[in-house]
Amino acid sequence: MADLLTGFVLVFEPLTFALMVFGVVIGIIIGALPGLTASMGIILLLPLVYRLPANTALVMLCGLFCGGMYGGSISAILLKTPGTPSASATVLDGYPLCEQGKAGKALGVSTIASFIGGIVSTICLILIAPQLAKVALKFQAADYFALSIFGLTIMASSSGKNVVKGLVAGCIGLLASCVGIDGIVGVNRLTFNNMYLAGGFALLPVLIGVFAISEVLTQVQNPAGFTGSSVQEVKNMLPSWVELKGIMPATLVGAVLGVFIGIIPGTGGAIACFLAYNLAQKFSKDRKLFGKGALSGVAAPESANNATTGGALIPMLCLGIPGDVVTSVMLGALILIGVRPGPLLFVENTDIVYSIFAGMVVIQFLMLGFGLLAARYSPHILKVPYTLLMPIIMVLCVVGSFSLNNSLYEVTVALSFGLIGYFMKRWGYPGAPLVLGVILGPLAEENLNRALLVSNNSWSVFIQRPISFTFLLLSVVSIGFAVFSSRKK
Amino acid sequence: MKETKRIDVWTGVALMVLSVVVWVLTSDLPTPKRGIGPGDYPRVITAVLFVLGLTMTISNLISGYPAKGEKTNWLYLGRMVLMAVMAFAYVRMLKFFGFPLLTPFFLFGTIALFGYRSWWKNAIISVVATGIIFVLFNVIFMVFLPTGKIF
Repeated sequence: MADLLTGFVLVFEPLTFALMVFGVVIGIIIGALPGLTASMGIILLLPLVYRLPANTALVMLCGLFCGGMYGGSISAILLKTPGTPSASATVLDGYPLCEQGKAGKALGVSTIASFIGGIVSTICLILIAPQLAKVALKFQAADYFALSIFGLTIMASSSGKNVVKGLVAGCIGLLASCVGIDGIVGVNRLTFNNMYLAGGFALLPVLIGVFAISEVLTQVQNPAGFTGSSVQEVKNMLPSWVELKGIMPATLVGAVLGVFIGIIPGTGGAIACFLAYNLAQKFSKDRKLFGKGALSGVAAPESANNATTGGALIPMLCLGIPGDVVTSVMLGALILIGVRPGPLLFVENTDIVYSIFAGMVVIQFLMLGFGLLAARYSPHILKVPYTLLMPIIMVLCVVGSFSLNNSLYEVTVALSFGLIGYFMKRWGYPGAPLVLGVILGPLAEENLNRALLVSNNSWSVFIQRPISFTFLLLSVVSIGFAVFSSRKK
Repeated sequence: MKETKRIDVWTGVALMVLSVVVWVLTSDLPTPKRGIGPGDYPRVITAVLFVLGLTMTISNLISGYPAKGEKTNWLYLGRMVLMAVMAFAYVRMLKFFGFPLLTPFFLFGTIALFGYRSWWKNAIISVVATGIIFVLFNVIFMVFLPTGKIF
């Protein structure tokens, strides 16, 4: 409790608070604009992040994460185009409400449901994460290796339609992490005697390339893009007491479901929102209204997708395994700041952990306030022309990758990974496993080596230890399940 | 769909070739008596990659290799290629011209490529956006921006 109070004190420091507000507002705006995601927003802010104190940077990114998750509902309701994949189910009832002239009411419900989902997930984060970290402190090298493999396989098997393509992306990421001077013996590996390649591929240019530059290259193909010029006016946002009582069951169902979906690595808001929508429809008294403009049809998915934020932070903070694409980018940001997520974080950097906890509580209230405000002015936000936005994002990508080492080589790496990311997207390969491969590659190699050194080159160590055996078994099950379900389709 | 299927076959072949090349490149790296050597880890990955490439090629061939792929929209693809070429050229020329001098021209070109046809507005936006980015990053946040021989 004392740690949490210290966290609140840190969060209310003027710079931290101001940047947290900045993160929430920018997150809402980025989330509202179709094609821009929270992960892209975090990437664009990375040059600023590693010049800030770690806890300040992290709460700003958490604000952007939660704001981005909520912001996706604005364009889903007003334009029938979800701003982020997590708002896909919100379209089903949000847009019919907009057609009935109730856009304001739909946005109000979406904001309140997002707030409740966020609060529930933050409470779960505060309660579950420290306990899980205590368990994770018992992990040994073999367990960490198995955990890295588990994280990679579950991300590869769930982030795309084709499990083989997900695994290929993960392997390419692992292979990319091998380039450079090897950490065990210190010899050049796959560098072709190039002095730049000897340093390997830094994470930041890879993130910028795969998630941001590839998006700009995709958008340039269709320069007309979307237009938000004919968006209706937003008024009468706050629901009545009867309406609020009516949406509460769906909101709570969505919140609980969202937290648990968020905890499972490799899932995320896009899955949670549809599951919550289906569940809310099944148990609703007005199920016939679903699809035609039910307020519960907006509340359930919005509560669920915001509830995944706290859930996704649990495996990332405790185990160093991201819960979804955005947390994999956040994991990269943490490493850039010099913080290695994992159980030791809860022992060595309690101030950072509890700043995140306290920050997540405050962020939900900021999101409620600024969300209602942003929803009111959303018709103006949605008028920002893509033709201007995307080229500026490209320049920001150049600035971001250059700022890592003040080197144009990093920019060239980012552009190259942007091209790779573009073709991966075009041919159906998910980008997240590639990035995760780059992040987890060194961790997996180091722990594989350490486990084999301790066990005198006996590979049986991975099945003799219950934790590593369980993770390897789960890896096989996740791939098997993904193959089975893709064949069924 | 058909385009992807044809490409999947060839990507599978390319992955197998890549696996063999990496295997060969890492074969002469030292191997310690205990633990893993620098070449062992990439070789394990390439072995998995080879199997995945083989799986992709065979599964797509078995399910029927399409005789003719879907038509590629060359105009769309051309725009993407032009954007990529402009970006690489911009980065190469930054060494000479520097960020503040070159960025307005890059922005002008890319905004035009995105279909913005108001030339005067485009020019003003390009200069103003460069100025804002320069002040925000270089002056306020003290983030270094690329400098060239000229500026």
